[in-house]
Amino acid sequence: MLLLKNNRVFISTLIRVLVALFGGFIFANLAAILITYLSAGNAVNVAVDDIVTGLMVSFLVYAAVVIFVFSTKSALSATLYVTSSCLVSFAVISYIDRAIQ
Amino acid sequence: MKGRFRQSMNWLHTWTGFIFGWLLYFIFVTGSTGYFENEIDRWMKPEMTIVNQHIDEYKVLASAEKYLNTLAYNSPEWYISFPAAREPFIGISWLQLADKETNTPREWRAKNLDPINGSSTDVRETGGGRTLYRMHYNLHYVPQVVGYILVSLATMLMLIGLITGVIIHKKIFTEFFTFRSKKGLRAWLDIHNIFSVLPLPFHLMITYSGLLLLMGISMSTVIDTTYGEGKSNHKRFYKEAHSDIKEKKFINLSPENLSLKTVLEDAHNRYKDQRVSYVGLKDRGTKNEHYDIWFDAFEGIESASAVEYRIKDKKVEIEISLGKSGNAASVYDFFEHLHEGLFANTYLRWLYFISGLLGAGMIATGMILWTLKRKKNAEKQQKAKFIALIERVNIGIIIGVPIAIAAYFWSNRLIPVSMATRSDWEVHSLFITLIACVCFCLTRPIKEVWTNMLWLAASVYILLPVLNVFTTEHNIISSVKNSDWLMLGFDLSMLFFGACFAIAAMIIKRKKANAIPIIQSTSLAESCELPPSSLIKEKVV
Repeated sequence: MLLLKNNRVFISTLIRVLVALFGGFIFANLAAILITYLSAGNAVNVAVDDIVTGLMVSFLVYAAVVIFVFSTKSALSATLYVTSSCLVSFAVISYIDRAIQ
Repeated sequence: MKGRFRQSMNWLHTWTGFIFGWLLYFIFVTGSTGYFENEIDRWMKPEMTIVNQHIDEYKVLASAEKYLNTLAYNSPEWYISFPAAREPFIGISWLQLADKETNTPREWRAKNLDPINGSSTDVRETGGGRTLYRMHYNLHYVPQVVGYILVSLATMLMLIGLITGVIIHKKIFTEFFTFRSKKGLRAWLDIHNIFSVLPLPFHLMITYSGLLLLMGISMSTVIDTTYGEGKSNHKRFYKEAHSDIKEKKFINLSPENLSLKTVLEDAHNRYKDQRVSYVGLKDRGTKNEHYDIWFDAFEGIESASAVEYRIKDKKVEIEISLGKSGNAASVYDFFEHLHEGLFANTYLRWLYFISGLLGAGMIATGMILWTLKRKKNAEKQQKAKFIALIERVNIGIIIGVPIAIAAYFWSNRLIPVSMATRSDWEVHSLFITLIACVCFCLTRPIKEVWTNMLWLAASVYILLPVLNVFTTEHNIISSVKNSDWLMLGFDLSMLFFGACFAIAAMIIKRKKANAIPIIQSTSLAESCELPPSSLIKEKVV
């Protein structure tokens, strides 16, 4: 593989693979929870149907994240984008969760 | 920028496809067999008595009830099945409760009834079509959750492979009509394109819906966070997610008269043009005792509704299901039905099956392309050795999986009927054969591997109907006489598959014969433009 020709490329590819696999999974999960909350309107009356919506969309989100991670300029920016999106969605979810209590 | 994007997508396409390629191929082939579950079942249970004449359903019900009363008097659940289009049998089944004194485990038991004299027949223990198609998502030997997660991951990569595959094709439509048969590597790429583009909607649908079917496991953290952790909460989630809208009404039947017979009568009167496929009696002997009726037909993509009868307030109440209650659940339901294809008639079923095989072909040609492209540039000997190994395992899997499935059918006839663990050994023989096929490919000279394997596949499939003649009383002529269309269809299909393998073997042999003079006079790079089997004497091996 041309991409694996030297160590730097190898490491950056490895980072991309890890970010896509795990970062993508975490973001897909968070996105599913967010969609569930948004489609229910709040976190109190979450209906089963909202969860099904979230779950069904999560796979498309996962695929999109993976494609994004491999198409951005550098592995570093891919990592930063995915991590920050995860943090933001996590913050929003915790905010909605806290609003109930 | 655009070129770079396409390049990175090309890389992603190559590797997402490669990593789980063999597993995905196995999933596609075994999954495709699922569309003929009942037909495979019929062949693997040759003792079943088929119903090919008109029967009196009430008479059948009476004799079934008599059997259940003696065999399953303390069982909480009874089912009586009537002949349906793809299951022309009469059967009874019940839930056997665990009994420590007689050492009986809690299990489902079933018996087949003769339509003429009402006697019961013992049917050999077999995994049948169900065990075979279930392998495509539970992988059989691994714990269920591990199997589901592995399959989900492979499916996710498949989805990414499909999306990136569409992206990297600049002229997807023109390329679809391009086939350069004499151009080696290009020929394989063209076949790969045809296998991918023609059934692309099917591939996308089957991959995405496959992900949805396992989403409760693969994305279980979502349910944990929004619905609550633990098994009981998950169970509650599934129950509510799959809940139907139900219409309830009281009917004009006195509660004392409520019995299997009156329930069947009422169902026949209520739905005059529907055939009843199952009658069930659930929660027997409890306050919640109720009767269920299922119909054979599908209305469009939805299965025709089931009716439930129970006693409430000293009156008989019926419950008719009218589809899923939630909107998202209805979408899920739509995808589930599309994936399973239970609504399909014979023609559509074949189309499903062929599309599934085209998917398997797409994966197989993708794997072949992977080796061919690398073989060209493999300068180091070590790398070349590794690629040659992958090439051999490729052949072992691509032709080995069909051979292994044939071995599953062979073992059904060859393992003694009295053997206690015979259904386990059917599955063992499938996987032992698969491993043996891969080992065979590793040891044979590379120029003979393709043709050897194809001839082997051709012979095991063509001999299956012959085996059927010698081990049972069924054969092609008797199947026609008894109008046993499922048995006949299976035997003929096996002959057809065997013929396909034989033709493929002959084509490859002819190509190779034509190719040999060229190979001696051309360089390594050009020799790649021959079928993979002919990449022989080069230093790669």
